[in-house]
Amino acid sequence: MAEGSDPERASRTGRTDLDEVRKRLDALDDKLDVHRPDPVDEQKAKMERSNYAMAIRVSSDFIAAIFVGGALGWFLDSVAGTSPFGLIVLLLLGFAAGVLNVMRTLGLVAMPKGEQAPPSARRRDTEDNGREDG
Amino acid sequence: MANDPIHQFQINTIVPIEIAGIDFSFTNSSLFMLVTTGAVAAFLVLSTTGRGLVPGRWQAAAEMSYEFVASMLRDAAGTQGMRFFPLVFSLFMFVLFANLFGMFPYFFTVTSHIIVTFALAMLVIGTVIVYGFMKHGFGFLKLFVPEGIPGALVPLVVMIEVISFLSRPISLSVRLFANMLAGHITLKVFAGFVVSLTSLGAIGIGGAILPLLMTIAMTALEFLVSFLQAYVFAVLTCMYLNDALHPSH
Repeated sequence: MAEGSDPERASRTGRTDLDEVRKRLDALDDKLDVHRPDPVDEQKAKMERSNYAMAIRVSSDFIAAIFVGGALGWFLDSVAGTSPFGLIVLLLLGFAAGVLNVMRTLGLVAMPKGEQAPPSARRRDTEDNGREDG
Repeated sequence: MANDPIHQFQINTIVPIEIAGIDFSFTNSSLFMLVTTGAVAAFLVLSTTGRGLVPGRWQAAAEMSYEFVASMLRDAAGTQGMRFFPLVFSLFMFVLFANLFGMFPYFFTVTSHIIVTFALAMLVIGTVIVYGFMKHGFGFLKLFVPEGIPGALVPLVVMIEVISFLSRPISLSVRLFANMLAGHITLKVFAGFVVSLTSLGAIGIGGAILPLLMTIAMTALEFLVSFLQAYVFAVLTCMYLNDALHPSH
């Protein structure tokens, strides 16, 4: 404690220097902040746009799968004469495909393990952020 | 007639052409497709003739549209996806310009007909299927079999995946068509309210302000939707092309 007062002082002054520099940096950062675009505002505007697009995408993905399932079942029935079982089964499968479509669109279905992450991972990341904020 | 909101979507024959009993007439729809393509080509050719190192206003717009689509494609399908850039860029510009042309009064909206949007969607899916089989052979079918699925579940999952895949061109085309159709009908209906209310005298004219404001707001929204739908169409095209490039899910 008592010994080596010189290095202690030196370290103390060093710390104050550091504090001063930090303060100056903070002040500079504040000054710069005025000129920076507000990331929150930017993101909000972007999200509002993408939310609308997402709503349309999700609903049409869901309905299209059910429609295709039903049409396929109806077609099979009329070819094989198994009415109405083809329609029933494929309509249900279409419903499952619709749910799968929606979950894919929202990025809720994880990629299978051991696969390289697709380049679209970046897209899913941004969507994840959007969901958390929204 | 003037107030009929559906009238604007009618196809009129301009030059009747019939080959072997099939109607190949040049219609107002064909005319506007031609105008759209011409406008896109003119925009890109004229704006880049200067080839300035520091781009002017028009050149900057053309470069921006290039950068926009290129980064979208790179994000979704990687650098390998850039071989599809001409297709994606043409689709994006065509849909965007067709949507925006539809915003002019008395213009025909090409993308408000499902057969047009369905043809565009089939072009995309056809490209995915043909290129997928060309590049990966039957390995492309791995797209329908996610790895790590128990053997008993494979038929069920494959059925679901196939339906999910077949639903893509439908959802792609219906989304664009429904948005443009619904938007233009709503616009026309609200604008029609203004006309019919003003014929009611002073009170009607006062009341007509409300649907007029609505029409103005809807017009702004329609411009947004025009761009957004072109964007969504292009983004999904990129994602489907990604499947053709890397079919192992």
